[in-house]
Amino acid sequence: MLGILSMKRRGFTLVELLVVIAIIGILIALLLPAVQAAREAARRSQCTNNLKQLGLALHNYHDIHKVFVALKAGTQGTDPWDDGNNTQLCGLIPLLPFLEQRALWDQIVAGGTLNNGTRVNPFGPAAWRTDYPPFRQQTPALLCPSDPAYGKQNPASEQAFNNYMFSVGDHINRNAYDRPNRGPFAHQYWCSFSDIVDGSSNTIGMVERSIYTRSGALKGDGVANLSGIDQNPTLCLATKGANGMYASGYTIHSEKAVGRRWADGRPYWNGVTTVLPPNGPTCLGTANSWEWGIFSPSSYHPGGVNGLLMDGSVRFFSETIDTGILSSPQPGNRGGPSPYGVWGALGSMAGGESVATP
Amino acid sequence: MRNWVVGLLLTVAATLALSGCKKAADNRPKRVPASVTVTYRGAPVEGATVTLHPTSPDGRAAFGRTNAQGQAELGTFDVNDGAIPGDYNVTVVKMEGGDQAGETPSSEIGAMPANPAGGAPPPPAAPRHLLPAKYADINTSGLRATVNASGDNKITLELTD
Repeated sequence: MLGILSMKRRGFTLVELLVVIAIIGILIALLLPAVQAAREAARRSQCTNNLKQLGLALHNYHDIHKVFVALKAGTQGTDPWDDGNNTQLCGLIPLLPFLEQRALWDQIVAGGTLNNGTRVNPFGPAAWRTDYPPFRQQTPALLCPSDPAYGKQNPASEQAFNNYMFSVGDHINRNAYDRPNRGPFAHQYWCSFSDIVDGSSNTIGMVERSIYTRSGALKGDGVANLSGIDQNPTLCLATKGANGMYASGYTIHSEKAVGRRWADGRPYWNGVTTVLPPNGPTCLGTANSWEWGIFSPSSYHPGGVNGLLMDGSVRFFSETIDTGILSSPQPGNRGGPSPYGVWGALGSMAGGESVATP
Repeated sequence: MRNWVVGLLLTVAATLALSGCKKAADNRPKRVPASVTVTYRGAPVEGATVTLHPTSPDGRAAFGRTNAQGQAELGTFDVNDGAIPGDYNVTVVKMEGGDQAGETPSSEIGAMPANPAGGAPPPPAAPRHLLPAKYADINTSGLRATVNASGDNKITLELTD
């Protein structure tokens, strides 16, 4: 019996070995791209989680204060803005205690000093300043790991970065200082659940936007002084050029700080509009970065962006989402359906549209 | 030996099946190629943005930006991806090249009025129209275009004073 078995044993032939190696090779070839995709999936998952935490923070803030945070608000001040933040302090700052950053919040409430030792009032100096240490302290929950700017902040000279922007909705003209905007967040305007007539699960609260890394790139940069975009947003869509850059012939805004000024609540730095689809161009309606415009969300995830709805849920919005008739003028401040399709309807908090969240 | 062959076939089948996992098909309305030529007083206009406003509520706007020959390929969801067949009102805009002379850096005083909601912000110097302004307004432009599902869609816009 044993003898028969041992008779049958033999080595592998060369062909068999080659076939096995070939099969292993094919399997690895299949697996490698999958591993790369899995890495991005992991980063996107963390990114989604950060957005979820911001949603919880917003809700916890609402539980205590009965309102959500404003897009920007704060203290007055005078030139040279050592003594107040010019009502520009971003809504992310009052959310800090709800993101387990109470120590940083306490520092800002206390005031403290600038780099040169000047004493500043509570809530800090002007929101664009980089010489105030608390503004340079990075809160990890505000960074999306898929963004190439992740971890690139220089804490000695730059403000902290932020990927998660407040939505002003399908509102273009004066979206930096109208109150309210068509979306939930506006200048010195604290909306509550009762203002969100469309329903909190049908209204976008925050969306990702890429941090500036490259001049002239659609992600993180913007066109200046494009008038008429509030009457016809396709004028802004037409600035899209090849390879993720703006087309030639447009003036790119000279200030390069999208996502690099977390304390400054002006919508060019920390806001998004739901007019042009995700990963579309960004255009300012005037020459000034502190004024209004179309601020399109963007991300480095394939095919779209993560967005937070006001009910605290996080959805992925495709860059092919329906944006309706983009040659339509912006609708009025309060109420009225959005002409900008599902995307615009999700952005408005009181548009009265019936939409199914995609 | 047969087992090897079966194994190989299975591997090939799995490869083919997995390679089918591509991105979703474009389920947006179908576009057809369309181009537009803009002339003003007979000369081609460079750098004008042409917008096709759909007359039907189900339509989608198309846009294009003219090159040195005054020609532009139209796009709807992306640049140059064509226009949806249908009737359109057309506007043409060309502004003075968005120069930044009026820009106030945000780090400077006066970057933002202390309480802009209380009073109107200072009116920014509006860029100037380089074509007759009536062509920028859908109500006054008087330009029409039709995009056909089949055939050449070459739209010519001859602007006058």
